Amino acid sequence: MNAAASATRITYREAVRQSLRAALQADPRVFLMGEDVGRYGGSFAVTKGLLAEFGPERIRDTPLSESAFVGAGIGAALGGLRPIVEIMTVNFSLLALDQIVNNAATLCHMSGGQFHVPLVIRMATGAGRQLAAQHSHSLEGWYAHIPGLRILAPATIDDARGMLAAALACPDPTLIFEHISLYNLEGDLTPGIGPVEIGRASVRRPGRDVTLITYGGSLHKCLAAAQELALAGIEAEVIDLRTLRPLDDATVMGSVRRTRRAVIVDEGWRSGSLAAEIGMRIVEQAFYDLDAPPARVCTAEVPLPYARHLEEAALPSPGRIVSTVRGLIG
Amino acid sequence: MENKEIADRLLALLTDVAPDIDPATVVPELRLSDQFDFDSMDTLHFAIAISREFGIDVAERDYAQLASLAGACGYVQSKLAARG
Amino acid sequence: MRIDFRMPALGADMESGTLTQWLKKPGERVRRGDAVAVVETTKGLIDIEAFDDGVLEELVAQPGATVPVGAVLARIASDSASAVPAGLPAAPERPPAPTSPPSASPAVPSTAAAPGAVASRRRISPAARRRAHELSIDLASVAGRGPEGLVRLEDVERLAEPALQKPQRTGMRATIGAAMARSKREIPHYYLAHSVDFSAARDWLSGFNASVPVDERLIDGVLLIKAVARAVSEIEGFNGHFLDGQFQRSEAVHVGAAIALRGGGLVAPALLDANHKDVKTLMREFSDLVTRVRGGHMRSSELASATITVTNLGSEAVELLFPVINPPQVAIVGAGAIAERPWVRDGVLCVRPALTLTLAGDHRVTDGRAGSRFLRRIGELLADPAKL
Repeated sequence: MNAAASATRITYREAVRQSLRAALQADPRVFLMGEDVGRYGGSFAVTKGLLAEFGPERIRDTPLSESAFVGAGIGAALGGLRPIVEIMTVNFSLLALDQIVNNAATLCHMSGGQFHVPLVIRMATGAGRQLAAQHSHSLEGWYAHIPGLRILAPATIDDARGMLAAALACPDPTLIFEHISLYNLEGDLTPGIGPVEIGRASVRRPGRDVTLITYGGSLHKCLAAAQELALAGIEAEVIDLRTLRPLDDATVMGSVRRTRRAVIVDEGWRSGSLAAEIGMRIVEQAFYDLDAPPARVCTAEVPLPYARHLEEAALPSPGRIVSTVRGLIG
Repeated sequence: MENKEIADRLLALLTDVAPDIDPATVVPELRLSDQFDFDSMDTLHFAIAISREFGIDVAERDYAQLASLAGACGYVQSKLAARG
Repeated sequence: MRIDFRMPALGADMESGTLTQWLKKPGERVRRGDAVAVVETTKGLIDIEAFDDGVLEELVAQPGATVPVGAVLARIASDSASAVPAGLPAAPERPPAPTSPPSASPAVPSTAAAPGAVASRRRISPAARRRAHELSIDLASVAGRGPEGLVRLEDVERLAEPALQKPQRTGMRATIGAAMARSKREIPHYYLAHSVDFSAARDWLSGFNASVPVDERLIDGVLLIKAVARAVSEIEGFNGHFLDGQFQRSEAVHVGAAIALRGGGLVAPALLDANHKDVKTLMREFSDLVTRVRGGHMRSSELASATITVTNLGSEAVELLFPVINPPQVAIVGAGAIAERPWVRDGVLCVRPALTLTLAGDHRVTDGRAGSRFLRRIGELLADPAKL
């Protein structure tokens, strides 16, 4: 009994690896490609062991050319395969921006629905590990701007395990953003979990006084902040968006209508951000239910610093979330 | 003037000065400050009322004699007697 | 123009009051400062005064009704076209209520708007606005408890709950408790004490009182109030209110006199502009105030406006007290009993009537050095009573 229970406790990294293995086992059309995914085992060690298990046909190391291998992935998807492309971090995905935005996102629409691009692109995002300004940014909000894409942000062990299958089942190009601070997160995996529902946000903690709306790596900062706020008698509800495009307005508005206050916590910069979009939707849809203006906790508008104390100061923190909430409640 | 009449008139003055006290509860021998939290303002108002009612001059140094209803009664009596 | 005569906030914690009596009839003239109605609050019966000269046009509230702060009690046809319902230093979170729009006014932006019209908007959340509309609650009657006086949904709903329509019965003790708890929670008090020789004041009082009829005599307390009023107008940092995170000094000196009620309870209505009145005037007003307080006829302007408080336990009391500041004020001066004590004067030990003054000050505004100067100044003024 105990052995069975402890067997379900795994890391986020391991959960992603299990999802990849399950996908490769389940469907011969599925293959994985990217920089260092094979022999090296992935730059975040997610794909370790897969080359030995599935062989070089299905676990393919690529040249350092994001545009080329994302384009190859689009072609493979159009040709009937189910490619999973790994881009090392979102920062490098900019080299493939043309393929993603001008090709993957548009082909279904430009072909009048004749061609689907069932491509899955996984990439790491976010800061917190002193990787400096070219490896630490959170640009998922940009992709969430693009019609034709689906954007997922698994923040829990179950979502890390279950979202890939749902993404592969989706006929549209789907981007999965894995926050680098989550790979070492440990948690319980729900036994026998299959594909999880995407397109829906999830209430990770119920509360009555304020809604914290977040996703990805910031979820755990929000849960820590909620715990601290609870000591002061403030019950924060924490919503994990899970899917950044399309956004699940119903869950967000349902919560905000109850708590009457919203704080959006987003590791992106605030100007033109996903947080801005969510805040505006709250104002559009729930204005008359508000007791306070929607507030945001975002990253300071600087290229992320390398120095640890500066990086910490730039990023959203539980302390900043707590003080923002207190400012709203008084 | 009868003692009883002076006492009755003083009691009426007292409840004029302090309408928030119940005349039935006044114990003549007890100090007003102990019974009803009388302070210097009450004492002054009581002295003003007495001097008007009985036409006598109540000197400031005599205030101590007005500390209880019985004391005030004796004081008024002696003042009236002195006037003849 | 017509002016709404509204239930004033007689203290920051008041939410509503019960109208017990109209003192004026419709059609009757009222002058600014006239008592128009009697209202029962936790502080007792209060006479509510008019802010404007005019004619009482319409009585809106009926005696017996519990009326929320800010709700309309009556309408007054004001003499002055530009009358602005200001005047009272009522609860700070309630700016002047909007007056009724003139009926025949064209919809043209007017540059001749009353000066009060530019006052910043009250902060009312969208949720509170909608709920107030649904419940037909006048938002002017809702006290905001959110950050910076924001009116939130729960502030509106509090008024809608029938159980809370009659909050008055919590009583004066609860009111004092709430105010003092707030004071001790929010105000970093510091305490100073200073003993003064009261013989000059006592001698001067005896001489004065012997020279006038009994109904013109003075009491010790009035000298103290005058001395505090003078000192506080000379020394910065003790006269005013601490509001919205900062000290707002007051030019006017309204000295709150703590008046004990028989059987317990305490109110501290103000002697207005005490620094500009001579002791005889102050005595008359103080005497009148004590009589009215104990008879239950305080005036609204006296209740909410004190800028500093004096508390005097009287001749039968102990020699030293440590008073608690009455928020939003920033200082309170206490006086123990005046009693004969050993005193050294010019190197000789003698017996003197002495008085120990105490000051509770607000460290957010002043420090002990300023407090010390303030207390000593009160002592100096008491030593030369003829000049008071």
